[in-house]
Amino acid sequence: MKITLTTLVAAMLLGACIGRVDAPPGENVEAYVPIYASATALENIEVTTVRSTTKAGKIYAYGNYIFQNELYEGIHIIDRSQAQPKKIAFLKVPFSTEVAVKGNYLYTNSVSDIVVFDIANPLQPTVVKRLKNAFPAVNQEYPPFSNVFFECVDPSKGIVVDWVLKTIPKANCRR
Amino acid sequence: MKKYIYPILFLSICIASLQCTKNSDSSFMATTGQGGSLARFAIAGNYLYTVDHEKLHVFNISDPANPVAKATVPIGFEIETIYPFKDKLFIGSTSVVHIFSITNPEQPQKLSTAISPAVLRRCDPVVAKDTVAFATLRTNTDCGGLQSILAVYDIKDITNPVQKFAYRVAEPYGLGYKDDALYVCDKDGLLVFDIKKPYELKQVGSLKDGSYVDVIPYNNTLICWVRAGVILYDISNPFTPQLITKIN
Repeated sequence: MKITLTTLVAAMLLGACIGRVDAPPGENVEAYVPIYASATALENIEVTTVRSTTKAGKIYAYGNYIFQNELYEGIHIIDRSQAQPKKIAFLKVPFSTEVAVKGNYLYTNSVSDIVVFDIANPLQPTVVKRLKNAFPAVNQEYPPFSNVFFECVDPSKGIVVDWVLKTIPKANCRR
Repeated sequence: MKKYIYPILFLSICIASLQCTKNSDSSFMATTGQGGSLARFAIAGNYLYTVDHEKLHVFNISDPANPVAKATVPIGFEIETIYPFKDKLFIGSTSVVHIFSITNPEQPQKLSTAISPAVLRRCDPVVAKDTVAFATLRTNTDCGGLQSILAVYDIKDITNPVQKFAYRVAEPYGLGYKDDALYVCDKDGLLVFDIKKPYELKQVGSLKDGSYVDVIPYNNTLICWVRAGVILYDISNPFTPQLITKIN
């Protein structure tokens, strides 16, 4: 708790600009750490058999179908046309968090890209379009909070897919 | 497998048309589906609206296979949700609700910002019904220990939303309504309210089949996002949801 307070005071003293910290605060500070994925990992889209839900995400209803996001993994496709609604397929979309449908087309994201699927056959959705960086869900330079310390982004490690609060030995960036 | 698809499709269409005759006001045949109150993607007419943490993005989807970026509108900070209602968009941030007009769908215009005087932080999802808007305002210990509430706003004058009622809840998340029943996901369960008189709404029940995050009332089915997956209820009688199944 003391560290948090020190961090806060230090942050206030440092002002509001984003930048590298010349004199890092004490050791073991609470800071946001980027989680990386490679650009090629985002291309890894496929339809698989049903799987159990582990990190249940957002839901979307469309006709007899329900789509539920599996956080950062993809989308469960549920058919409720029968008395006992059940999963019929899993659409693997790396780092997907959102879902919406119009006509026979499903919109989701893969980190910051919007990906469009043709779901005329919900057992076999196919990619019809990818809009690069159309949904800047995760900032590539800093975490979505101000007055915080964070580990500076190293673009050579890949795309930032998330920011996680951790206690790390030294935080070299702040905003 | 393929030979089963046509009978299933036929059956689905039959069920669909049956449900439609039962619910003249339903959106069942509409080509757009329905999202929850915690969504960042929303479709209104031929447009897909998305919100990131700070901006609203507009895509023309007249050709649904080929979204075309049309506009980006700066909104504020810590934006979390978007909810389409008639020709409006309700955009929830951690502190306020921004209301935009999409009369001109490619150029959303800000109409107002609803602020709850009782809550400094944690204003999240919002839904609207006629001239009333409902929002859950979740506080946590970082926010001074203020009470979380279900807030009811008069939006007759959309440029000046006025909070008319507040109901204390434990730790609320998403919400949705069917007819006069409002469903609110709360730490203590799924709370069911009678909103016939929205400014004196009454809790009439609560369900405890899971840990509820958000709801989509969809015709006669209440689709619940729970931590373990999905729970479905029959809401033919909106005040007394009947469990259909859990999908984990």
